[in-house]
Amino acid sequence: MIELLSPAGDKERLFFALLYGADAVYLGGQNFGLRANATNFTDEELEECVKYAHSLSKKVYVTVNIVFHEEDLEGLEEYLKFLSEIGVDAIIVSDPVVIEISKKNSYDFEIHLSTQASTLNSRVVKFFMEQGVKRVVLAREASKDDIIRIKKETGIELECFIQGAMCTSFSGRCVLSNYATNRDSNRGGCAQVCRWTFKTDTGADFEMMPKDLNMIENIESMISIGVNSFKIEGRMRSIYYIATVLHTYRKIIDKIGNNTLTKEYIEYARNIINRVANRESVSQFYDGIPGFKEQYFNGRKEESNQDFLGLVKTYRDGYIDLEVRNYFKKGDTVQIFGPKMQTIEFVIDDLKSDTGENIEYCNHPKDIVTIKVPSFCEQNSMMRAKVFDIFDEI
Amino acid sequence: MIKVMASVSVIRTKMNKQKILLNVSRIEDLERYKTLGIEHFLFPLKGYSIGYEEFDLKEIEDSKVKAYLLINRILDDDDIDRFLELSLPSNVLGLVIEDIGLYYALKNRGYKLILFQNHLNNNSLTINFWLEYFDSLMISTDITLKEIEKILSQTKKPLVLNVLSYPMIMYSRRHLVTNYCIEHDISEKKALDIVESKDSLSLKLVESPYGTAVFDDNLLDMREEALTLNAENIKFYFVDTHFLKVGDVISLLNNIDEISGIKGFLYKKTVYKIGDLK
Repeated sequence: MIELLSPAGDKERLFFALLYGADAVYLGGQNFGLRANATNFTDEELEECVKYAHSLSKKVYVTVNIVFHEEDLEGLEEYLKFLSEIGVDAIIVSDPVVIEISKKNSYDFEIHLSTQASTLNSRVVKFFMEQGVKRVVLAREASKDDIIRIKKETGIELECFIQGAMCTSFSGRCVLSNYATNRDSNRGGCAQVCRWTFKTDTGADFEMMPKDLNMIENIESMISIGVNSFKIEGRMRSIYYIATVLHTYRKIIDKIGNNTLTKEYIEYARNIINRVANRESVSQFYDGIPGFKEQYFNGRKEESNQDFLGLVKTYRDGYIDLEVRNYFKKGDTVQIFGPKMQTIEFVIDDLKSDTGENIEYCNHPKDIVTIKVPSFCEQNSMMRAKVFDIFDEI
Repeated sequence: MIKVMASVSVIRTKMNKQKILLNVSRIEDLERYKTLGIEHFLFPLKGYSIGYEEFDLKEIEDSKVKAYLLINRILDDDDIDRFLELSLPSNVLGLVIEDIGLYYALKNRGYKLILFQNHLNNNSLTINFWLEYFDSLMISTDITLKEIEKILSQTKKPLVLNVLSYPMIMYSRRHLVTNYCIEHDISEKKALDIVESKDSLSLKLVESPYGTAVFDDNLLDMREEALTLNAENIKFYFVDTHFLKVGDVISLLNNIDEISGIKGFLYKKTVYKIGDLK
């Protein structure tokens, strides 16, 4: 089983994640998850989203992975009971109190050990297997050799992060945020203090921020050593980011499955991912301890772009209705990609407003405009500015 | 020099020195601590600890004191394999460990095991879960005094209470000091003091081949509060001498002077939703 696992910060993101190739999503309720300040899901939304995902034969994992204080225990058992009753497929936990309560009540979901447990060896895995854990999300610090050994010794389902932001610290072993801002990092309040700039007596500012994780070139290797689930970070990222990243990794995994993955495609995919992430990304700990080249110094070099031009609402007779997201104009070269369609590229030469008038440009987000396209575009496909030539996306 | 951060209070100590577990920074200081009545010493084990001065098994054996080993690294399987080949000296009474995998590997070997995952076990139910497997557990420095009181009243074995320390508040597997030195072409260092630009946070970084430990640059002082807690529920009072001089430690434990540190989160609850910030 190879699973592509996506974050879902809210209902819209969940919809796009499942549409663009995720086999499963992970998300948080209103409490007990490590993204306390994300929109997250109400109980009603959770129930609705589980039904929706299951209707597509896809899975929903719910994060219950804070480090619990005494006051947080109130309502926990009722919440777990609710998650069991609505049929969530698994909960992601780090605090053993959640495992104990779940075992005691024989709840009908799997228990996955969160990356917050910073698992790096097979003995930890064996301990938690005896507690009923079915899957382990390995520490982001796990190397290829660590993964091989853990799989060989335990055979457990392994989930690894493949894309997104990294903590400077081992997960869970950092309370910089608590000390600097009084916001509890292990209860979802992390203020990302490790991304701040510090003074020293050497004359040069000190920074410790890692570049993002990007495992595009290692997916085939990870599959071969027994990783089962490939996890993307970023519950608060945009639908364009989610769609692009999932679309790209889905194709990588599928190409590995049918033995058509090439170095050239990996390079193309890396460009696409780096462009949408706006940050530099590297493979971090997979082949060894990261050095200074895997960190940012002198601030994060993050250049936002306006590549996401619009969302395709409908297609009819060679035209699309597009919900505008960023400025574009007649004469621009654009691309449209979607979950099932072949990516297309064309020059905009026929652009109309929602009242049918010819227009030269679009500069109002959420406006609906009509564009002539060279071939079929599926609903909820996305139009982006051309940055790279399309490469073998079928 | 110890920073004076909080209101100074004169303490009339009744702390039982025999229940102090003292983290050793220099072997040559042991005699002075023993003279004070301290009997139990914690030695960060060379190759298996992070952030502290380390000692090899020969040094620990030669000390002839009642020793506990500090193994506070997160370990991989090769680390655990190597540890299992070690022959521990007879004066080693137990191990203070971070990694549950090491517990699993040692569970039938008869060692006294104390769990020390500083930031992870913050309520009585979780601690009681771990006490099924461990002989004791080090109470977190991230919680309030009221939470500590509740935990001590509801857990099923005596716990270890952090009384004096510069708390380790981050543990990274990266070589943060080395990376910084390379980037800025600065001569090699293994330790560095840093201050947040608005002076809201001062930190001490200590690097080893296994990563970087980051300490708060303020002494956390729980001496006064420790005396208000039921001693029967406390296995050890933990005193960390890291960054302290032996004379300062002895002064603090004898309460000869009036130097005091900060109170951390003892009277300041953390929040996690931005709306709860006041």
